[in-house]
Amino acid sequence: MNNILYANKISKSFDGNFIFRDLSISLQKGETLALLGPSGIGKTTLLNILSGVLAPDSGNVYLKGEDITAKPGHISYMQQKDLLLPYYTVAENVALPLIIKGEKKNVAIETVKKHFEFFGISGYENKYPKEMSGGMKQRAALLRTVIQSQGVILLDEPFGALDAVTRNKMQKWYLDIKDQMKISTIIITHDTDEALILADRIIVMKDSLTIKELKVNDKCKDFELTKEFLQKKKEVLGYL
Amino acid sequence: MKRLKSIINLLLPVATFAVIIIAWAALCASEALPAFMMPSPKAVLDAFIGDFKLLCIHSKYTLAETFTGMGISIVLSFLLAVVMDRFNWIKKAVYPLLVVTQTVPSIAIAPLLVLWFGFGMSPKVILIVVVCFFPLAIGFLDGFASADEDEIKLLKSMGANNAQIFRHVKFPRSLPHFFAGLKVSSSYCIVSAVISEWLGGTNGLGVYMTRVRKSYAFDKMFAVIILVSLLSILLMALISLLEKVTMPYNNKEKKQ
Repeated sequence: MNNILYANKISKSFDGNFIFRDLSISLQKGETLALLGPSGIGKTTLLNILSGVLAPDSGNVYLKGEDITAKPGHISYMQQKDLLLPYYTVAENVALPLIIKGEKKNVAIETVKKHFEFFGISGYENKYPKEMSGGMKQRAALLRTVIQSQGVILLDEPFGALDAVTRNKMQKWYLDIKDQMKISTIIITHDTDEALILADRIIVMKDSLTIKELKVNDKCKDFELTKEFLQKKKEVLGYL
Repeated sequence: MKRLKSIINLLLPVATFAVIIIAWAALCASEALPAFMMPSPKAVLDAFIGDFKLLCIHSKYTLAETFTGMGISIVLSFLLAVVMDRFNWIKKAVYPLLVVTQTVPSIAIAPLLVLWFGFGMSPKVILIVVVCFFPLAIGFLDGFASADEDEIKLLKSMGANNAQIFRHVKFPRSLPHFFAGLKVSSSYCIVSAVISEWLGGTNGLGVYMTRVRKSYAFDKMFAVIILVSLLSILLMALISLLEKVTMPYNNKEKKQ
């Protein structure tokens, strides 16, 4: 198996109600997996467990074969908000994961500055986040997430707060960078189109215990304008 | 147009003060009030200039007490707030005490402090600490609590420990609250120093005030009152400057 991340039989309940029971999820190297489903069925809880911020009641999470259950710091996680700290410059924000890991501040900042051009935010290194537009902030937050990662990133509705035009641009841009940065991604979304555009594989969660899987690989250019796209969309909506 | 507006905005408060001083001078000139009870602005200014050296010497003592008291308050309130933030049971145990200390009138305990600690600097400094401690501690506490849960989660996902979360999220988030508390307490500070100097001591603006009061030197009385409020204003300006230097990210917001 080529699994970079593997969650084995995860269960989690709050106040006696199961959010998941024996849920297993695997992510292959270089793959983008979308978790699609309505709000409030525990998608974010699942990401919290995978990232190690939250401990599952039972089950284990493995990264490259190593057990990382409830051990944060291995998988990077971008939440719904960009969460750029307003009192740090953009470069300091992006460098924060390296600084936390014990790297010297100026070394960390030099390291991350190399990527600013590629992420389309060069010129903003020494500015504060509030001087950026929404799309720019999201790019900076994503760069921070990539800097933090060891190849796997979790994205919780990363483009949800953006306007439709910017979101479209960001999705295209994301497809560009993920190959070049060699990252494997799990992305949460409740937008069917977004899931179809970004993902190689979609896990549709009707409720947390009913799960369907769907492959969307070998996508052509402008996939969202083809008939296959509509077909897949019908299929997904049928599950929900 | 914009510049004109900002000039007018600046001139308005200046004009208010000017009107008050002119009215005061006119009242004195009309001899409606006896000159020994209500000195004219000119007399106050003369007293101020005449006693300038002496006022400077006394100010030095009052300011020394103020800064020492403030410094001690900042350090103590920071330490206590950190401990209270870290251990919830300590917060629950100590918070009511903090509120109670705030309801004790400082003027009432000042004589006690003089009896306990003598006529030196210590009773003054202690009174300032008692007065300033509360707004500062509350400022820090509220600031720590205002840190976003999601930001803390983000730091955790990076593998940060408690100290790092404090350093990168809680502490910077507490700074605006801390400065708000510092501004409030700075005006209490000098007044507390002056009040405790009334009750005993050999130096300080409060001592000077007691002396000129006993000799019915109203002009000097006014001069020292104005000096005390000037010092308070300067202290607040100093804090604002410090705030701008420590939080450069806020300045840009105002410009936009």
